[in-house]
Amino acid sequence: MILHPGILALIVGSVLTFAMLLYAAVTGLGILMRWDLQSSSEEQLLMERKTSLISTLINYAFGFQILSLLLFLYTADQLHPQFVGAMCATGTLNANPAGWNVLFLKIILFFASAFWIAVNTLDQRAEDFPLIRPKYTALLFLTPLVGLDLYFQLRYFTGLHPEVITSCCGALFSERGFAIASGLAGLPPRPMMILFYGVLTTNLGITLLCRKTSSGAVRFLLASISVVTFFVGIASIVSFVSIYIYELPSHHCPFDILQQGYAFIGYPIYLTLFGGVFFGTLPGLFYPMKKIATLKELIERSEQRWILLSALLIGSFTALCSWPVVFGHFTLQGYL
Amino acid sequence: MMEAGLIQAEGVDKIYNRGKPDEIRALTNVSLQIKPGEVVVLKGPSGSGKTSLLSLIGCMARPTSGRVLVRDKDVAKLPERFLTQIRRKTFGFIFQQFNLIRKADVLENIALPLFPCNMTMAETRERAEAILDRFGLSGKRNRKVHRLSGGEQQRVAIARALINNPEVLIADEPTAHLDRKLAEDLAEILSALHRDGKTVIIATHDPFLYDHPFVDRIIVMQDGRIEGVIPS
Amino acid sequence: MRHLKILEYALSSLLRRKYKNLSLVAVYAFTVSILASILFLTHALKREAVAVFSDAPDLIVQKVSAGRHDLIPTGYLDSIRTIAGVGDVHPRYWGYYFDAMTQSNFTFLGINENLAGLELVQGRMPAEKGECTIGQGVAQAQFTGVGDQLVLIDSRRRSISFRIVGIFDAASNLLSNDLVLMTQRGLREFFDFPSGRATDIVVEVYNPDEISTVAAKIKKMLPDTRPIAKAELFRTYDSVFNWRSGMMLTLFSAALVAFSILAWDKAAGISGDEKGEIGILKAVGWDIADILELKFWEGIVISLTALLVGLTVAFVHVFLFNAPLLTPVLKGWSVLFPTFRLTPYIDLYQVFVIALLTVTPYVACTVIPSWKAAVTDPEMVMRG
Ligand SMILES: Nc1ncnc2c1ncn2[C@@H]1O[C@H](COP(=O)(O)OP(=O)(O)OP(=O)(O)O)[C@@H](O)[C@H]1O
Ligand SMILES: [Mg+2]
Repeated sequence: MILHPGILALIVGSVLTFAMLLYAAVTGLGILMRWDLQSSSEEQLLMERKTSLISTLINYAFGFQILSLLLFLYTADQLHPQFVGAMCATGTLNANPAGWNVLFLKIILFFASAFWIAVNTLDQRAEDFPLIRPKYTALLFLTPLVGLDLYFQLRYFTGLHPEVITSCCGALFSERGFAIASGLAGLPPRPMMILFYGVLTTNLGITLLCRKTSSGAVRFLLASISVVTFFVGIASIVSFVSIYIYELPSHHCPFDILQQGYAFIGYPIYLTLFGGVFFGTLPGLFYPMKKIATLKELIERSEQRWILLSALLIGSFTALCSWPVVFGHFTLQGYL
Repeated sequence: MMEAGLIQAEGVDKIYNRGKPDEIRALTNVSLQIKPGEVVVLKGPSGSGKTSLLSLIGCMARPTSGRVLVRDKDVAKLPERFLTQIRRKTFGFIFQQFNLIRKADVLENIALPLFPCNMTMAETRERAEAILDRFGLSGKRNRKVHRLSGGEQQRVAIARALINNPEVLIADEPTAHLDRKLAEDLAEILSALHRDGKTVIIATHDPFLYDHPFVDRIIVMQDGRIEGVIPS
Repeated sequence: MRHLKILEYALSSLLRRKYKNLSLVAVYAFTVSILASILFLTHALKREAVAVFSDAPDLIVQKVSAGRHDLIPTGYLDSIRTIAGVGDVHPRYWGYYFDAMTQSNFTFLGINENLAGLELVQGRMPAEKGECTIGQGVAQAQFTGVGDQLVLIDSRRRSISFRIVGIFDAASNLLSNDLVLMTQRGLREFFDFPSGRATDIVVEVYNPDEISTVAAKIKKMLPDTRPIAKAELFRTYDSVFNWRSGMMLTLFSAALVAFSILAWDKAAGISGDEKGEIGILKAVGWDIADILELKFWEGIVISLTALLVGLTVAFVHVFLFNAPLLTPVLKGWSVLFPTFRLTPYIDLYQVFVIALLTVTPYVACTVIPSWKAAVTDPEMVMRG
């Protein structure tokens, strides 16, 4: 275990977030069991009021999740000198297999809580709480995920052993002195670029189509392509966007771009990708809920905004990723 | 039954602390209809359920059973959020107590209902200033409320009730804490509102108010029921 | 627009309860300043140490016998010189000395004539056997100055005196504080080094990429040695300082807990006054969500104020006054705590950590009380 201030902050934050979610889930469970919209009892009124408590708890927890995702990456970056061969946060994550689990879980949690909040926002705008049951049922699944996140973080941090000089020998040459994988192996840049532009063009095409028709199939298609875009986007950042930004043919770290040295370019890149993918999946996700009378109109109104936002964000993401490729000094010529 | 009622109550019951030992039945099977532009007085002894009825009509609370319709929309089962929205748009309240924030200044107190609305700060200020002018309080705009006289406080409370330009003004015992002179001022303001076509609902047992010429209708309450309507 | 107006109301509402909120901010800021002082101090010390080590040799070779660091035969020098890619190889003589009188540890270092890089000296470097140059910490502990004698007891209980010819500047670095510098010959005689032995060997490697290769070769050629690369020293120091600040944070987490309890109490114990106000707001058309937002802004304003004040206090405490309140705790690290000014330095990462460490508990403690306030029944206002 490395006792590092950043790690303490992460664990304190996660414990509290988990506690908040647990409270929300238990409250939600109580509501699930006794909810009766037709009743005008004071208990029902109290439950209706408790929905606002749950929303607040989840909103704060979501905020913490985003901050802790960032803090997690920063801390991994701060810790990398502790590990032989680690050049950046990637190396720290490699140091213990739980590291990547934490990262993936945090990303899953990001999307899951964002979806939950989207559903909740919509539900609150309808007069009859139409989604109260699915919403609080989902909460029962979201909470263990946050617990799992806490668990993996604890496992990860307790399993980190800094490679310090031991009494017998320098760590570099100690018997178990192995150099951890220092980076991620990227997929070959040229084919990846073709895939990247192919997928993004398709994505934008389907988005435009969505604005024209109200067909459910097109919305599901958009949701699917958004998911594909997410993975292709991440793979492309690792494979070629990073090396164009770092101007180093072998530096594939997807986290260094978040740092000052690269003008914080990573934030807009990830923000547009995550945001674009999120809004792209919303129309498909909410399409089945159009069957609910009180939601139909609300969804149809919001949908146009989601589609527009998705198109804008994905477009900006494409532009941001293309910028260093088109205008940078770096060329792949010699390296292929 | 469904014609032009601005506010309608149909078989409304209100029971406090239901199912508990201190259960209290405040309203029993109350039905009434109020038309736009009417001045209606709820009259009855203390504990007869006037305030309870006002808060149901004004979307402050939900009935235990029965229907309350505001502009033909049933608000009896509406989530609080939507009740608040309707209340904000439709009603202005003058409370039995002035219910001002004592340590805040006059301007802020008057602007309170506008804070959660979507308008700019400048517009909010403008509206508040306009209404201050109308009630002759401009000179006192930055005065803390607890340094005002009772009559001035009363005017601040009325100004606040009117800042949203509500269609319906609800006043609960508005003269309870006023002397005769101030009560006359209040009656003057209320009849001016009446002339402007506002609907006014007053709960009172002050004869000065319910005998006032601007009153269209008196609803007499007793033990949570409507005993009679004058003129019927 | 709505949000800005609610923020404005939040500000005026906070000002209306000045004293209550000021006391909360004071305690909050105090907690922040404790945590921030710890982080700033350990980070500044770490930076000093790293700065010292950046001058350190690329590769040091120590002898290990019976699992412990032992004096190294100077004969190894020649073996090491035969390895390709190795530049200058020379022995170092140093050791620790426990001064019974002041109950403190000194570091003795023998210099050879070509030693450079330590220019920050008042007076001069020792030139002959009976002379020494000492760090500020040593000078203070011994109440001595340039021209005085430094009297030391050697391992045979003989007292040997050295003439102090120089003192390292107070503004010098972390490591020079407890340092006593003497000639190599003086040191060897004082510690009674067997002939042909040194403390360790410094190896220059031309190409930094080859350090590990060279080290591996040395280890193979001389199995009883332990080569240590500079990178490892960095790593070790980094880890030690992280550990220390983490440890101290844990120790002081009591402060955080105490603060959380207070925050909870303040938030939960909403005065009748405030409850009345919230009732009025609800009655005149504020929604639950609006009150929650009001509470959110209040929390933001209080947190930001407390963070700003706390960070400033910590900055002044650590960098202007050298952390007088933390030194008793830190004394355990080394009896001679540096008295020099730390170089002011704050990085965003630390601020982020402190913010998360203090704001998270605050928010978690206030969210339920805030909600309780927000669901105040508006009807209550109708009856006064
Ligand atoms: N929140 C409450 N909990 C329990 N009982 C209540 C509550 N509010 C009102 N009551 C009861 O309901 C009955 C009707 O009260 P209400 O305030 O409507 O009467 P009112 O006609 O306005 O009286 P007054 O003229 O004194 O203001 C009373 O018996 C009162 O005690
Ligand atoms: Mg009453």
